[in-house]
Amino acid sequence: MPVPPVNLAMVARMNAAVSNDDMPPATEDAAPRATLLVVEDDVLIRFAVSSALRGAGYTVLEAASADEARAVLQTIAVDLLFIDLHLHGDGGDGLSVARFARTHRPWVKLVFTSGKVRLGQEPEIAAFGPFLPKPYLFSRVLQVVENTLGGDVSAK
Amino acid sequence: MSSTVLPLLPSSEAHTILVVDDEVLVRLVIAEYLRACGYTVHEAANADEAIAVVDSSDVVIDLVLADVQMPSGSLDGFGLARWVRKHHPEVKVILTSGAARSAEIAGDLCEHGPLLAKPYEPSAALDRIKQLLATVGRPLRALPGACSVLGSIQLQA
Repeated sequence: MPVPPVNLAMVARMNAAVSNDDMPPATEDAAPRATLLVVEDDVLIRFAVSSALRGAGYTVLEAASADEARAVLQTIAVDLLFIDLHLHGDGGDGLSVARFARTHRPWVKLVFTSGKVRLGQEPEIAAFGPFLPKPYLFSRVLQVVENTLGGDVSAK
Repeated sequence: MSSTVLPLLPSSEAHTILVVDDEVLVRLVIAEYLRACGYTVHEAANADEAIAVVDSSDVVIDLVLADVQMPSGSLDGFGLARWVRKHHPEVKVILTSGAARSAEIAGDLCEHGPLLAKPYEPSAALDRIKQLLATVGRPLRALPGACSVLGSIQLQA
């Protein structure tokens, strides 16, 4: 089923609607906080792993399909993609998101996950980034994400 | 999709809001805004995902903030609101819409009056959420007086 086009004008209006009075005071901690995009079509897994990553201090955005992931990548500065290989939604699988990121946002780090990998996919996955098989422990996810970010940006 | 056993999430004293919108960037903006306001926020891309989350034993949702127009799922926002009212009547619902819709329908489905019209100001959504959650009996974590949209994320250059 088609995904409606992203209404960027609406997003801009929602942003503009917040006046300076609504802005929180500047914090002393100016260290960059990594922004992660979790691309997962199973909502219960997505909310669980996203919550775990937020609990570790990351800013975590969520995409339920490849189309949503591309829309976010085109708009928001993302440091790392955590991608499920098998996406049943619109716009292709996880590898299609990875190829898009490599072409248009080559600096974005990639981490893959899946319950299974099709024969022949391993070399392309390995060329993009680490692979974390499902089911995974959140502690392992945090470890792999931190290692993949490589100290460029921190969780807090 | 995979069936993966996941551990229970840690409980939180903050009220938990489920934002349901099939426009990912709209969902992202309001979800980040509400997180900055101190709420625990989960996201659903359509009514089917929303039902899975509300029905999940892993999380207690206090309020559903849902778009009316969601063609990618089996139900639109009105259908989702009816489902919530039937199966989880304790969960509050706020509907949002970019189209002119009957306030009477929304009035039947939502507490405290008609739906928020898109584009809505995030602060207006926050006021409505605070109003509704004031009637929820669970303890509420102290909220900051101000919060920002996209406070911790940057737009792509």
